[in-house]
Amino acid sequence: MISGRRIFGVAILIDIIAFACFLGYAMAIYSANRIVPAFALKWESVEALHGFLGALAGLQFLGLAMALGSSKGKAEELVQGAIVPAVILSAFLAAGALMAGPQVEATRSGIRWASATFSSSLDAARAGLESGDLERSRAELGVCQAISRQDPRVGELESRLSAAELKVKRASLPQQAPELVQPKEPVAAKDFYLKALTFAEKGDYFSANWYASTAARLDPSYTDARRLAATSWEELHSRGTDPTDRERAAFYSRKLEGYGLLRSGDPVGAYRVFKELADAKHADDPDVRRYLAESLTETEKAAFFKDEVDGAISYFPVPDILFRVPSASGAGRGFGKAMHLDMIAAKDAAWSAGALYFREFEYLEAGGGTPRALVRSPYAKLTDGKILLVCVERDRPSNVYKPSWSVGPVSGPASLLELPLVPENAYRALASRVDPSTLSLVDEWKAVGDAKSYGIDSGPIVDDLLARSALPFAVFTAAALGALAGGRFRRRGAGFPKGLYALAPFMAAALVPVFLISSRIDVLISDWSARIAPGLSSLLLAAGIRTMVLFLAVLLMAGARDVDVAGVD
Amino acid sequence: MAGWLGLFFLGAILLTFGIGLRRLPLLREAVASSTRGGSKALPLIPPGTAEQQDRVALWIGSFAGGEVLDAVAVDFGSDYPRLAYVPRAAIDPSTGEIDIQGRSYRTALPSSRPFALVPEASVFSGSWIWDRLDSMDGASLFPVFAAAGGFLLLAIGFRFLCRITGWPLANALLAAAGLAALVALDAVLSGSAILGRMESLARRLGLPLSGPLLLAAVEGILGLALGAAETGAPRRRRRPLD
Repeated sequence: MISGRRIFGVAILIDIIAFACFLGYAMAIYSANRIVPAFALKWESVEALHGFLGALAGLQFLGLAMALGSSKGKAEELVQGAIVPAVILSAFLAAGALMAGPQVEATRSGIRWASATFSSSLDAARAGLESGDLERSRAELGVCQAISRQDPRVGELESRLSAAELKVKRASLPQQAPELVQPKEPVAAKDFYLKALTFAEKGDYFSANWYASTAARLDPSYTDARRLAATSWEELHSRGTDPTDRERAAFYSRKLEGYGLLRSGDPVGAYRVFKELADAKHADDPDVRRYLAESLTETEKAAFFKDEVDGAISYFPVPDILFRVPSASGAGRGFGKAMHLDMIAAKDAAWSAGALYFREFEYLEAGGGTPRALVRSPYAKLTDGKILLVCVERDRPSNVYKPSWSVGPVSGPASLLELPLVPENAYRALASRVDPSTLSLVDEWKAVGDAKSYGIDSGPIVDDLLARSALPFAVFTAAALGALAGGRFRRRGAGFPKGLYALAPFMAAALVPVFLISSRIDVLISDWSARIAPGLSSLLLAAGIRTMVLFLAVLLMAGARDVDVAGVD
Repeated sequence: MAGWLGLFFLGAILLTFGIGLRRLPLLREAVASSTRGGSKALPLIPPGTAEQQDRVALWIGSFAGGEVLDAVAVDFGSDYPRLAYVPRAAIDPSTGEIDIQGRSYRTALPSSRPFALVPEASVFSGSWIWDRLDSMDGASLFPVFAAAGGFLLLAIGFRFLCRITGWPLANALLAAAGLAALVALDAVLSGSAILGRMESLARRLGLPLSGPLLLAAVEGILGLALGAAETGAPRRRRRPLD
């Protein structure tokens, strides 16, 4: 009778050796041109795990066959003794593979996408720098920095780009920006003037100067305002011998401007002002701190930051987006009723921190054969029920990416769309179309329903479910057949020369073609099942066929007996 | 020797039966009619589901007669913006294409490729034995039997793998791998470059053989040589049961 410890020992030893081989192979074929060096070790590890999980059934066969094939005793006793350990080991490995598989696939896909994005952005940044398009170069370099800031190629490009930007900045310094001609706004100008008067009476000449200057800007013909601005400025100078007064006044003026923007419902503009002040050594000022935080919070409600998109896109973006906006009940919005159509297209989409980000976003709403809304935005962010269309660069808030409406909007503000979309569900449906193996089994099951309501082809998801559901059957069948082969083809007579273990690598190599053919047969079962019974019912059909194969293998295993006939020996 | 002969006759019976079956008029007609098929309509993409072919995605609201209602197309390979929409478009009956904003899009699903248990022998310039036998269905029986016979002899020649080591399990696995290697070897030998060299060598030696017959002869000789070597090698003593 074979001991369970021997089976566990041999099988696990083979698994460890196989994993080490896969890891060695992954290290040998690693190329820094394909995968960003920052991910090298992670990539090699997940590649090794990917190979290991893919070969799990074959390894299970080999482990059981070698454990029994090198044991002493009668075939029937050996095989019977192997049942419990084989079942425990198979259950453990199959469960582990089912749980770890999606994470491994998600990490692989993420690293692959990040590396591909890094390479293309690095090339684009270099091309932008060469052609003098520094803005594009900076944007592309931002993507690279979000992926791997420590990469020497990024550092080298950053210094070249900074030098080029500095050169351009210096060249543009003598040119004064033309003064904008403000339209006359007498009513608003008067309000500002009256406020200025009030502040002047209180002796607050900073505020008086700012309000009077604003009034004069709004209505250049408003001589009283200009006069008050001048007198309050003189007053500031006469009172303050401090040469920093002028700076203080300018600072105060900017602060008030930011505050005004915030209160007038332009949080992006306010954020821009307070960010500039914070960067200009005023970060300690309590007002700046307070209103920077407030404008940031308000900006995040109405817009989002480009670094959020860059960060999200650097990790597994789903390319080529086209889907229908489902109704709250799950079906297409009004689809089939009043021919109401809501479609979203984008270059790619990525998930991060509970939101879904899009690049090169397009939204079409049509009803009765006529487009009712058509909007395009370089970037978009989907949070619960809202798609924000305005994107701001956090470090350079003057760079704002705004939507352009060809038709519409039908209702509501032009800076966002209100649609019944749940980011998590939308991402699940989109990601499952491209790489369903990255989803957990539960999520993948849900994704079949999501895909239908989002107008996405659910075929690849069902195919992946079929492939995944095959794994436990394959591991158990391989274990049964391995035990059978080990018992039947064990070395006869007393003693097992240790030198024969040197054949193990050749046995593993010899198993490869058999394993590949078996895998193809398994794919064939999935393929037939999908053709005969479309949708989720194909899972039942495939499971039925595989159960029969497993049952046959167990029958063969149970019937193992020693026979003394000519054959393989 | 008895084992070798037994295997040879068993293989010969199976091959003869298989070749004979393929040439039954009834079966040939059935195969021909199934591959001919009828004049099937083009399978159209399902309405309400975005289908992507290469980098072009197409979503169709519904089909009505020879028209589509509400079609949205996006060519992800083109410059942004990409989204194109048409409320109603006629389907070209010959190509299954529709026009959306001045560009044609396919409404037909691409035909799925037939599934093959063994991948195409694209790494070799030759072809698998079963594909070659298929191509000789219309030929006379002699070259067919010669090709099958040569392959059979080569296969039996690989029998030595069943006794190559002192561990039956290793022998079984190596024999299974040998089967794959045998098929691959046959495909390599059938490649035009190697077969061409064999033909030029045969001409130099004055042998009146070429094409499948020469290949069958080479395989047969190789198989017989391997068989002879195995028969002549000392036998390992068979161990008793535990």
